[in-house]
Amino acid sequence: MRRRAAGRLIAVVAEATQYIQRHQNNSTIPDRAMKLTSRYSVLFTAATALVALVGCEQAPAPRFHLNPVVMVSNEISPEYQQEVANVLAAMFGTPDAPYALPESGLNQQRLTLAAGAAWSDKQGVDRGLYRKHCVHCHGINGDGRGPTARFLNPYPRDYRQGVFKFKTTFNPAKPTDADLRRVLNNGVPGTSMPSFSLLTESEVDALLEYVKYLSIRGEMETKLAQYVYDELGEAEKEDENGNPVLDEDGNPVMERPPFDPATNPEQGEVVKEILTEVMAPWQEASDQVIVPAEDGIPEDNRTPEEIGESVAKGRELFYGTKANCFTCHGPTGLGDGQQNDYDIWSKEQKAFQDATAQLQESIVSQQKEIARLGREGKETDEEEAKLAADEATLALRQPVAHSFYPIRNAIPRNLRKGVYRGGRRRLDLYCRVSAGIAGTPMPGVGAAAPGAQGTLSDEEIWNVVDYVLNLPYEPASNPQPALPWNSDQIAN
Amino acid sequence: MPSASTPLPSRWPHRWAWALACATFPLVWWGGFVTATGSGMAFKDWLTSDGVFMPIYPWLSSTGDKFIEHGHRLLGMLAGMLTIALVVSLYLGEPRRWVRRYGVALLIGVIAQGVLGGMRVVLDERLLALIHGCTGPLFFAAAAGMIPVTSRRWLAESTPADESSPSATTSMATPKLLRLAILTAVLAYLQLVVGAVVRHSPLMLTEGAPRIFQIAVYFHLLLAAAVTFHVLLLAHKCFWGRVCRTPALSLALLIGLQLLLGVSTWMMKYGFPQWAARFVGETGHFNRADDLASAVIVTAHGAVGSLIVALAVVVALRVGRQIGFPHPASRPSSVRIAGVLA
Repeated sequence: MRRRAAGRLIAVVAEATQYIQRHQNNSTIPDRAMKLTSRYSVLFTAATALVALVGCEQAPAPRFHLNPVVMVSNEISPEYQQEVANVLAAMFGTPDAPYALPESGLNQQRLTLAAGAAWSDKQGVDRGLYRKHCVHCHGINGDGRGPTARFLNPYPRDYRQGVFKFKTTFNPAKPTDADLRRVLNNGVPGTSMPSFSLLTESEVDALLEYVKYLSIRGEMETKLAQYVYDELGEAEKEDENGNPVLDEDGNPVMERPPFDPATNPEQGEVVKEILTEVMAPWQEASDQVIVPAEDGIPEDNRTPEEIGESVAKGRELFYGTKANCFTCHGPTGLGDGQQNDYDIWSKEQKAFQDATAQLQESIVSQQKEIARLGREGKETDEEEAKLAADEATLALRQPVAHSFYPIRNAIPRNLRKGVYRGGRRRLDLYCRVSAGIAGTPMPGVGAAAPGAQGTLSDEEIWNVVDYVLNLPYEPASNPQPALPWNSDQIAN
Repeated sequence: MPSASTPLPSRWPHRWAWALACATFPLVWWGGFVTATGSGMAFKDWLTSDGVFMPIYPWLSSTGDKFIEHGHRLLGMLAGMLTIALVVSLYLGEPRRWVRRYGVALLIGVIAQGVLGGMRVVLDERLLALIHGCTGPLFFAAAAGMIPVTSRRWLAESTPADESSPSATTSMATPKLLRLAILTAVLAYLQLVVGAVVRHSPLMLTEGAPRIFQIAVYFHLLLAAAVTFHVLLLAHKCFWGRVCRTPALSLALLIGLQLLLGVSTWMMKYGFPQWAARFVGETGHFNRADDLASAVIVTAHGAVGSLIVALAVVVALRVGRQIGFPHPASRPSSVRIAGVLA
């Protein structure tokens, strides 16, 4: 169809060219170049029509892709990968038609509003919001690898690990809807994440629902891959009596139990359990919200002296061994302390790259060993089989390792800029100090769970908040007298 | 002066050419605005808008995406009608056959562009949106080119063969300047095409989209340097050569504005680039999705790019006319064509 249309158009273009050439000699206009211009205009418009019609074949519907790091790390065979993809499709649908499992608690109406191609219905309601506003950075899979991601700093968030930085819940807990809504409404200052405050409330809600959907889907994928790795795989075939089935040469026949929860009730139960496991933290998020003690919250009408006192205490804690903030944020709060660590998203990729590099080195040494054994006239069958297996694994790992964007260190925040990515309310800073920032090297110094005892008391956390808020106005040389006597030991 | 044997053309084609160019520039601008606001799919149908025949759709009572998209459609229709009027006026009062054909080519172009835009909607195809975004400025440049061609000055300007004319001795137009003007127009257009790729590829859902975007960004930066150099060189040569001083100077001013808009566009979409953050440090800046100011700036970047192409085409045509489009005595080396320096 497409070829025939192209052929017809090429014929039209050729005919137009011949027509122009036939009439060229009759022209009485002296300006040859203008005739050429005219001719090429005709040709160009014909070519435009050609491109228009040749391009009139719709692109295939977008699909979710499996996480290559998870699949390759867990050595999931292509057959199992397809089956995992099938299970995920049955549970979550496609980017055009997402499905909210009743067990997931996701809102199907919101998902439908956010998913699919971007367009407006007759009532003027925008649909396909994720593809209109988010996909270019966060990608169709929510893996933070949209087309623009390579140029952004920090890289867009990969939702698939289910970890979110800026929230009011305890460190390991999921964010609440209000947390996600706040990030969408405020954006993340100092990054490429814009504010969506001009969107309607229902549009923002639809987007946050879709973000949760992608996150749950990503976590489910990881856990399903782990299940396949742990429980399934090629095994010796057994007959009705439990004896191994042998082939003609007497070797055991291998079989691959399929991963198909629809026909295998046992697997179905396992998948349900995994889903419950994934969903539970999301459903419990509202119980995990950090609530500062009422009596510890500083009053709004504090005197300058009271604030100064709190700032002084905060400074002491900041540079002290108890809170130990300066190890990363530096002795002047410029974020120039320990800078070699990574966040969990980078760590996952770095671990994968390191393992791949080690495997490559191991292959080189194995090749040398086989060559040495060969020179000594020894058997090398076992070594060669292992080498072949390792080379096959390396062939799978290398393209994935090379597909990563440059891995960046998690650089501690420069607190003297007064830029707080997770929000600049005092409560936001309290949550950052208390719970840390999930997925990053920033630890929390408050309680790790409801009712637990933290490293710092509520009052001390508020002191640190006061000091952090005061840092942009403090001379850089000022903190030095407050350095503890054993700071060099702490830094090490 | 026009020769006695050449009948004086009607002034109407020139007027219609102006009208067409003046309508096409906002059309290009509005088209960019449609992309910037993501309004391209405000309707899923074409030739009708939500089932209503386009001219009678209640545009002024619509809002948001529908207002923006339908406004673009109406402007497109206006451009189409003006092109028809231009062609009719050309066939009624223009004696030069190649100019009449030029008009017909414009008509085919405007129809093709409309069909392309319609297909982009009907098929919801991002690639067609990209192509539509590339051919729009080309049509604008072609429409702008019709203005000098139909002008009285075009006929008044003599060729070097007509040595009795005073302009033949004062004009500093040379084939080298013509080559420079053409090269500038080509480079500026290429830059527009790459810019369209930068703009549309992030929203493509193909596997290769990230790679295409990355290459396009680097290429866009490279071409920005090349276009700036060529535009400034062209303006310099035209100014001191007393050839098309106004459009050439406008080009020089526009390229400065365009560079500023380019930086602003990136910042409006993605914030500070990584390398800039190293020098500037962290800022609390954040963008706002669907912000009108950001849409206007992003759109202005594309529209000014189109204006640069159109002006370069006009300069090339006028320089060409002043030198009578002679073929160079000797074919210059490709290096010289590219450098246009020596």
